[in-house]
Amino acid sequence: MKIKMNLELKDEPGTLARAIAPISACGINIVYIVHDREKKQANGNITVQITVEAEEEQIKKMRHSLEENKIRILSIGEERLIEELTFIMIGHIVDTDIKDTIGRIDETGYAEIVDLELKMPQKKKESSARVTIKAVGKEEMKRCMKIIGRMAFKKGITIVYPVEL
Amino acid sequence: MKTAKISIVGFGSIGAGLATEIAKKKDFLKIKGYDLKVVTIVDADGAEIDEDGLNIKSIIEKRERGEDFSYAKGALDLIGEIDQDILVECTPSNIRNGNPGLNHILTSLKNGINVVTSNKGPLVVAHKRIMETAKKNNASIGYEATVGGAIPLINLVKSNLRADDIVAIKGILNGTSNYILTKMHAEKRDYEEILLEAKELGIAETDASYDVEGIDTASKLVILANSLMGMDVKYEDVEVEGITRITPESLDLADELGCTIKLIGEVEREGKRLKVSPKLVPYDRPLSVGGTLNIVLIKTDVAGEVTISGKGAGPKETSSALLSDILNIVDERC
Repeated sequence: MKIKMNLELKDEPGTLARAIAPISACGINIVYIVHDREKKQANGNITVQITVEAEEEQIKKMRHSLEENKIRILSIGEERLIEELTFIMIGHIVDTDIKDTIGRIDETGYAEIVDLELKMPQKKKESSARVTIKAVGKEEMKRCMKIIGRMAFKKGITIVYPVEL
Repeated sequence: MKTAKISIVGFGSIGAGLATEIAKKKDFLKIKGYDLKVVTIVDADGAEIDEDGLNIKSIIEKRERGEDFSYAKGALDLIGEIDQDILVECTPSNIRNGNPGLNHILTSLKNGINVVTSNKGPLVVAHKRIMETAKKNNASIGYEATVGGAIPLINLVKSNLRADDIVAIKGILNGTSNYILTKMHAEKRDYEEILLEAKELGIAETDASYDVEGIDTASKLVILANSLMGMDVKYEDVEVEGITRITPESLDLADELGCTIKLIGEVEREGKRLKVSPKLVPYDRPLSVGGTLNIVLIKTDVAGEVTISGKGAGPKETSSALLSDILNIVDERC
């Protein structure tokens, strides 16, 4: 399961590494880290958002280990893919390796392609695909769309997004 | 009775359509207190002139017989020569340098002659220059017919919504591309087939690239951004993608979602974002209008969203917008 947590860290060199070490020591896979030094708390400390992939037992161990290392967990909970976006791709989708496109989204850790339907006309003509992506938040969805946009440009694929109303 | 002498420059479908409507509505306009006299009609190959008012029907019949105009004069020759209140500029649009329309418009304004136009090119290329020239020479310029045909968009914003700040405009601004997408969707046929059919029906021009590649929509966005949103943008500021790659399969996939695909033009002041691209539009939203219809959604700070729809092209529909501008000027100036 995917777990998102917010940790409180002192704004000093090396604190992030000291927070990551006990997590990794529990054999937990860190999916991504959002580290924004500009957003400080009233006490001058900073909040770091870390998303991990782990089993329940590993989570217990990690919490204990973080507490031992005097790292405060501000919040922790299962991460849900709450943002959803469906769009249409037009081009030589299969020839340009659709697996690569799916892979790049899935490997972000914060978004997944949850549905894909491909329609192919006669040979040589361009095919069309409807793709649904889910992401953990609006910002992550935007990042995802940038990745898709860059790939579409590189592979000569047109993307039809929903109109924003 | 308010009287105005009118010159029509460019006697293609729009110019001839306007002349026809003026002749047809003569009595109706008189009841409303207007006497519009078309005193010159100018095209690339000559002019017809009568300071007491031309007989439109006989001129159209003459053109249909393939006969030349009576005088070998151009629009610029007549600007200083003929007494006229309003010059209606209907020559073909050129978004590279705006000419010949831009030259006609600027010369008229410099001579204190009011201008009404359906020609997008001059407004896309030199909006600021045209407005400054009009102001400096105490002349009016009406360009309602450049965007959305019969839809009273520019005048609506400039009059009824004048206290509102327009933050965004989006919509379908090209009837030809909307017709093609609607037909492709309904009949599950290829883009190329429908385009050919649209050309045969006269809905698309022989060279339909302006329409289907989004150039026409982008030009209209530039006019709307500069004239209604206080922006200072050029055609090059618009990100443009047309409908040429839309497939029947993509429309099927959209249909399964409860959507269709439309060519949408969007301008947002925040971030100076101007974009033309095919978009998924849910069936239950106003922007899903079909056929050759145009639709515009105006987002303002006070009124919220205002949506207006109508026929976006065609000589008769465009005449409605041209006549509205003409009568506004007559009210103000004649």
